[in-house]
Amino acid sequence: MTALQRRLRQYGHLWFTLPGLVFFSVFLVYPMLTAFRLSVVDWNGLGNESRFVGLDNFREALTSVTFYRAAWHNIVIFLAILVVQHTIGLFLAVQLNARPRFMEVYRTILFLPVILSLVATGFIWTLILSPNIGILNPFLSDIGLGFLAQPWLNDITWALPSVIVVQAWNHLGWAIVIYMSGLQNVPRELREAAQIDGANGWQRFWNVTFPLLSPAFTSLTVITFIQNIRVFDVVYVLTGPIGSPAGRTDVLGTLVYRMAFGAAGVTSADIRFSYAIAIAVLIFIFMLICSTGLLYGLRRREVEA
Amino acid sequence: MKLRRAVEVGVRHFVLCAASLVVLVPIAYVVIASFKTIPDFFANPYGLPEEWAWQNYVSAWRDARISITLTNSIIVTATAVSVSTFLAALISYGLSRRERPLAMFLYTFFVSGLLIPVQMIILPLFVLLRQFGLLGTLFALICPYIAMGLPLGVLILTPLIATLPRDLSDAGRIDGASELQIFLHIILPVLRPGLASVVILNGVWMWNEFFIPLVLALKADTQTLPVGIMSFVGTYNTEWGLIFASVVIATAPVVIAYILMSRQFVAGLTAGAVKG
Amino acid sequence: MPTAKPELRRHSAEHAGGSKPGASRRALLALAVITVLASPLPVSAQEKVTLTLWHNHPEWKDRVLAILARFEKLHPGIHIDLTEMPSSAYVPRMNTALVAGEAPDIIALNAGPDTRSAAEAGYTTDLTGRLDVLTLTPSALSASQVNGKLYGVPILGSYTVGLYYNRDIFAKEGLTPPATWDEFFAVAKALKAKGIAPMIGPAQDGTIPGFLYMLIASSILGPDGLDAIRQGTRKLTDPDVLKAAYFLRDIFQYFHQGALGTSYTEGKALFALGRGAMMEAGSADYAGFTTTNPKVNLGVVPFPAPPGGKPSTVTGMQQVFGINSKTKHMSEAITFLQWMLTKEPAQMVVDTITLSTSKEVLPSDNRVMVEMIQASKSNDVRVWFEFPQTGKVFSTAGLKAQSLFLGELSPEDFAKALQDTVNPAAK
Repeated sequence: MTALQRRLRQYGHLWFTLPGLVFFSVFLVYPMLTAFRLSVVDWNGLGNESRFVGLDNFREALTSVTFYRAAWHNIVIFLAILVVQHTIGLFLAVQLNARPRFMEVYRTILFLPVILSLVATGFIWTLILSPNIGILNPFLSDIGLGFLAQPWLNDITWALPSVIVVQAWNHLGWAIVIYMSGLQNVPRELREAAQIDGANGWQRFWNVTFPLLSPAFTSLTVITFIQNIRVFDVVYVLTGPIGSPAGRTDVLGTLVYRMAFGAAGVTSADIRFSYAIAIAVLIFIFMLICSTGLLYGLRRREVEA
Repeated sequence: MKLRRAVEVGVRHFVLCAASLVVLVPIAYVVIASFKTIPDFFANPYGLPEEWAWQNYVSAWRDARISITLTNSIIVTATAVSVSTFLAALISYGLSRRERPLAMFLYTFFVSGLLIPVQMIILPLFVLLRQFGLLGTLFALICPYIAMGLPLGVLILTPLIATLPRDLSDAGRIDGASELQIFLHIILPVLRPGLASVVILNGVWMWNEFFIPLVLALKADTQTLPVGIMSFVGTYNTEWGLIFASVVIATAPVVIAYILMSRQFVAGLTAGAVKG
Repeated sequence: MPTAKPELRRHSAEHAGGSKPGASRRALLALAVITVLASPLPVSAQEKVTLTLWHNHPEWKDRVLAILARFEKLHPGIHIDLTEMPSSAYVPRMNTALVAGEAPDIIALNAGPDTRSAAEAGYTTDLTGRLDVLTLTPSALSASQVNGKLYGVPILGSYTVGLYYNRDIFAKEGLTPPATWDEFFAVAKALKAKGIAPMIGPAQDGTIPGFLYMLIASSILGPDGLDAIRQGTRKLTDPDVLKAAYFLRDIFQYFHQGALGTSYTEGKALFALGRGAMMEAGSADYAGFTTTNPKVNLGVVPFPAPPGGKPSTVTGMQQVFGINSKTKHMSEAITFLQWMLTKEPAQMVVDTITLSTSKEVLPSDNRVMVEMIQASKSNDVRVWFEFPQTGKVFSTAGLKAQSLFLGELSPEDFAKALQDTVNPAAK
């Protein structure tokens, strides 16, 4: 066997990546590189007029209050969902893992929202929360709980929590399924051994089971991060293109959409396409750094655990 | 002790029932609302319709051109998801010896595709598809979907293949099988649960995707279900009953498929989700 | 400096064909064979020419189709393929299609910056001298021109925006529609005391608040005042104009409950269903009102005047319809646009959809349109966003209005934010 042949054999498997690599490069990487080039000009997305402005679009985004407010809302949504998933999600997964009767029925139902589109989810919750056709407030007042009724989506305090509830409703199934599969990896003998040692249920869970759930914790955290930095549809359907009220639900997704395609149908005077692309590039870089950091940090914790 | 156990089981069922209701009640209300006429929404917000407006479904079916968009959605999703999953499996097999620096780089390269915001690439993509003459055909959706499905597929399948015992493929090699044959006849079959989770995750996403077909499906005959539904939600008036009827129609196929195959669905998902 | 658009194309071309000359030549050959095989036989006299047309008013679809059917009956050789989609879908699709060169034969764009950008980029055809536009009103003509050349015509009319009121509610409460700011507050207070929402004020998106600001400020400024703003000799922060911001803030309390959570489209449905007594809306909205509720009984007046001023309306063009410079059916497209300028379709527009841009027609049996024309005789101003100098005032007002309503932004700061977007140097 010559050196060349050995080389070929050594890297032989990499040829399998080629067909996928072609699709990936042509339809994803190449458009992205083009987008980078669009982010350094000043262009409204339609006309002829475009001039090279270097990093001005990035500078403007990084010094704009609107950008940071939107990014902050993304982070708040991410953290809130994360808490919900690691508490309620984990709790429900543990309940299901105890294999109660009808376990599969429960599991089927609890995972159902995940397969609904975010547009459908948005409409479902419009029906519940809308100030005009929402059924929650009339229901609360009819059963004598009128004091709990709130102007959910049009109140500066309640709008963002409402969006979070809807997003959590849509995504909780992930946490349940991921944690369930993690729990299945916990050997029964280990828990039984702990039981013999006299540990109660909570101690058993906290000291024996939970550390073994680290891989589930890691994937769930990363998935949640990616999903919630990109959140768009739910916000767009529930509170509209400008993140009503008064920007309280504006997220990066709506900001980019508004800049790229406008918020009002009657005029496009506010469209700044290349600025939108620049913000999208910033989101990409931010996600790249954060997910790498998250993965690295969480993996290290796993190893230590 | 027995009593404590009974209480525990009771509480467990109570908790699970409550959680299930939180999921089911909003969905049930959308179905109810889809049968309402507009005045009904105000007269009787959360009750049953005064008269059941089946008409909503007839109009939604006709005006949102669901027979066309439904067919397109099925063709696009089925083609893109199967090609994409197959290619992702090929890539993952190629990358499964992750210790090689090049393979590690390619793995990161593919997976970081998950992070690309779609608004960023939609315009260059459109121009590109036009160069290829694909605009106005279903391939304008299928090709980008295949590419966009790869990152998740690689993310899930690579670690799964890496954990397969080496002897498995070595046995094939001794028998004189080519690498491709080994992949097709030995690796793919044992990879089935992982493949299922990729098919499900990407399939659900492609079926529900709204923004990409909105821009890329240029001809009315190539639009998919969500676009048909949204173009039905007019600019100037809001026929809630009709909108909810169309949402129900658009969602029903996935929900039915999900319920019929829920065991495989969830089993498939759990297979891939945690490792990696 | 290279422009983004050609750059985009050039690089794509390199990418598509540049790497393997041999392969690409073979592909080209194959393509040529396929093209020859697939290309249709020469078009015979009977063969129909299809013109594609996208439009952003799904709620008008039946009415537009009725007009197109009439055209096709008179011109059997031409078929118009209409695709209706809501504005939120229309803008991303049309803009992307234009840049990529895949726009329909007939290109409908908002008057003002869009029409200008598309003309300057060469997407639409210069129609100067190729269309007879004598019947167009002067403002419709000027909205269709870019640098003195004609790039399209507003064939589906114009919209004039005033104050709609629900005649049934007003009659029942014994009220008359307000003509001044004081009367407006009196009427609104009386309605609110009765538990009726005085105004439907959908403010989730910026459309209605933006139009309200234009209307109120126009009632102070008039057409000449708007010219002064555009030239920079008057400012939106001047004490008299500043009152517009105060008035906008003060009427928020009379909006229906949940205004900040109601989108423009939803608000229109609420008004058509009689959930409020008044709404700021345009002639083009009337078709939608009657679609939602055929029995709705509406009237329209110009927007109330400030002390010493005149009640006002604002008028803008429905989209300007140009011809794709790449169309294969130029003469058919011109035939279509020219026919749309004649009396019969113009009459259909004003009777079934919105005000016409033709000097020759008046609504025959559409009372609300007649009232709207009457209203526009008081003090009509063109919508500000069709002018480059004031292009962004409307969208900024829409974006900032919620903060004004909630008291987070003072009327002074609101007016200043709007004034900052005025650019007298813009061409």
